[in-house]
Amino acid sequence: MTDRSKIKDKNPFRVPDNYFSEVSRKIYERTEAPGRLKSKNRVIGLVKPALMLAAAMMAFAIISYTGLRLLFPEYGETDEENFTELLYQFDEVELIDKLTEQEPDDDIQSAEPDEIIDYLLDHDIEYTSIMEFLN
Amino acid sequence: MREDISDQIILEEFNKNRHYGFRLLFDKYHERIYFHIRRIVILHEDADDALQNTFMKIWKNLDKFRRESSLYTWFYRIASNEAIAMVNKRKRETGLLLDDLSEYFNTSEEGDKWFDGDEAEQKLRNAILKLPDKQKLVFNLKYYEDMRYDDMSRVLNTSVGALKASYHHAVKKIKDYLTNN
Repeated sequence: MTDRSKIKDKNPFRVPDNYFSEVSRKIYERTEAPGRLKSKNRVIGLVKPALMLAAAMMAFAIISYTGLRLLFPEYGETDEENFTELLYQFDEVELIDKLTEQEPDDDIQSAEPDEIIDYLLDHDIEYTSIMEFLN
Repeated sequence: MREDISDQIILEEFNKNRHYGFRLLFDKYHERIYFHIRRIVILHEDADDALQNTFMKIWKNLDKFRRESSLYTWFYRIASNEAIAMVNKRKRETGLLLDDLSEYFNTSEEGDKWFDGDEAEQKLRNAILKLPDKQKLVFNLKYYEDMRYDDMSRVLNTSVGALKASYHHAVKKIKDYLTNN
């Protein structure tokens, strides 16, 4: 590696006055106080797929229930026993089973944030672009 | 500046006290990393962003640094990736192609800002700007940093033979440009 004086000899690029002391200060500040917003965004990014799946399952349950009500009017509005039975079928069995079956979500949740950053680094993926895309 | 401190000592200090170790490392490397990035991205504002991104990635990942490569080749790898990402971002934002981008830097006030080169240095800058990204990196690392090919191989994840060929092509293109302009 060359020494700095040799780099400067060939270097026509200038920087603003006090730039290097200023950027040192900025970097040290960032390392002293990790960005809370970034951490929050990361958590949202990680749980977003699970939330979307849960919302889709709820929508499916509501649409199915409405369909059943229309197709089988004998299940009357006042038939509280049948209504409860239908509700339990969706909530307790299908919804929870579907949610716990999601292996990719488990992987995401168990991954350390640093592992994710490392992966992005190794694959030269811009972290900020992904966050912009997700948000 | 703390250029006399070895990387080994920096890593040992980092393991004892992350903040102190990181400061030693930053003090030793930030200027040379800045100018490496600057030669790729040209604009100071872009170099500043890429430098900060580089050191924040180093900060977040240094404790997992695998010692089979040297610290400085690892830094240059991260910095090179950040610099190329910044160039691509600039291309997307301006909608310019590589040749247009070098023309843009050559003619715009933005390109001249914080650039003190004489006519020959400006020509060299423009010739380097016209190189494809990988060749540009190879040329800069060899010409400005005197980096050894085996170190460069670790930075760019490319064989030594391919790097030598790439440098040879880059030099030829630059000579052609300087002859014809």
